[in-house]
Amino acid sequence: MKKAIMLSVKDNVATALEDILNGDEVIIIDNDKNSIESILSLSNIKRGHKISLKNIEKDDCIVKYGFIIGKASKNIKKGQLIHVHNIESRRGRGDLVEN
Amino acid sequence: MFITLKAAEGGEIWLKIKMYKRPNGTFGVRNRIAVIPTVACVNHIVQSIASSVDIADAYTHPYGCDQLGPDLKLSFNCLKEVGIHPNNGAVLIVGLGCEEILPHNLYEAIKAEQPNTKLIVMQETGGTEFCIKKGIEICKEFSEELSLQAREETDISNLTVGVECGGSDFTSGIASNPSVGIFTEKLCSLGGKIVFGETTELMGAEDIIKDLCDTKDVYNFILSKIKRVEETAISMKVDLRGTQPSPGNINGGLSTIEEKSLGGICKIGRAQISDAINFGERAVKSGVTFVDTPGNDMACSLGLCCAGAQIIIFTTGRGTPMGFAAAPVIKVTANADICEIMSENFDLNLSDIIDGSLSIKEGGEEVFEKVISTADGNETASEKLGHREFSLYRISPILT
Repeated sequence: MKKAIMLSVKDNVATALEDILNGDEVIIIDNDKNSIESILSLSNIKRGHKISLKNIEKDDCIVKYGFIIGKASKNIKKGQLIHVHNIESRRGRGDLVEN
Repeated sequence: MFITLKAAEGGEIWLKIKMYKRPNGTFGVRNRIAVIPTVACVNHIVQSIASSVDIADAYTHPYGCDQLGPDLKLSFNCLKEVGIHPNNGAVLIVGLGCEEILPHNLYEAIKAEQPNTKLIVMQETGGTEFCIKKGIEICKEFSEELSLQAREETDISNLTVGVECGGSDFTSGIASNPSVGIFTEKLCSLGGKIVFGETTELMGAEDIIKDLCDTKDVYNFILSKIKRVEETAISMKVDLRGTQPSPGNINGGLSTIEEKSLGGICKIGRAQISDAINFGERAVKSGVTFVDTPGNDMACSLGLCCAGAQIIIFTTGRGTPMGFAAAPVIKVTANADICEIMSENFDLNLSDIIDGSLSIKEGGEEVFEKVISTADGNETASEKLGHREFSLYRISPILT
């Protein structure tokens, strides 16, 4: 069974502890190695990359370590990969400044 | 081992450690010779001297000329601070004679705290070959003298450790940085000092930092430095994501600077941040001190060593070989794959934390033992491999 770790109860993502394939069943564990839930992966997710634990709407906050790490740039389904293609940093964004 | 446990009057246990005592009252974990150029023009001479003497390090850098104002002042101050760094038992300054970092001034500034200092100014002395020969003679004399110096027992509170991360991936925030956090808490509880920097990589971790800061002034200082970096990116109309996170960070699973920062701050654990200082200043308070440094590994190492770090703990998930001239660098990773590919470059493999067979607390104990053994004189992987890099941190463009 593939595993992913959720670092805080507030999180809506977990980090894959091994390579996950689309369709795999993934056990979500907490810091104490307790199993929290089992979810179906909807993406290929490399070890160390993040899986969504909830359906997330565009512009919703992505939370890891119990803190905001960015916002969703599109709707994300529970079980999908979360990475630079669907999450935006909110900090140091000089590129968004109008001329 | 040079370490002994002793019961204090109150029944507490503290660690004694054997280090080299310096004339200015500081203690070093190494007894090396710093060969410092005041200008890039003499780098070849400095390299040739240092490569001929086992315990000499070349502090080569590309600057010393065409520098002005605060930039010149910072470079001068950093060369002074690495010269009087407690890991150095002697200093040889090599100057050209026409540069802005005035060789005689640097010599006087270093000699005031480290009497074992000598100076060669090329334009007053001779050509390349003559200066190399003279420099080697001086360093060989230093070397003989330093070999006679013994370590002295002193309290672990005289130890300052820099904590730094570079080439981070998902393992950094889950395993290696939290283990360093356990170490940080332990060293602080024993009265030692921890210094950390990487201002850019605090962006997004402000709420955690707020909880850890001893006073509002310390928090406001750190906040103002983070703001400066963010405002610079905004004024340059660039997206920090070009470098923060870097392509390697992204490949390693990190999506945003906030995520990288929240993993990076784990190096402090739950230890209180007692002070915050500018680049080039020395840490004076026990506990954790923030130093305003860039995330750039070489510049950060320089800032932490100027702050007094005798040892640097460097966590990396992607793998980086870099050491530093002024202090032994301990390389820690929790990425089993890179540990296999670059095994000779690491001191500690904490990948068992990812597998679940090692706890973070146990990881912290391993870091602590490695620091004590390094302080005791055991060479780190980067030292053994000859990684003793150095550079200055330039804060203004070349105008002239």
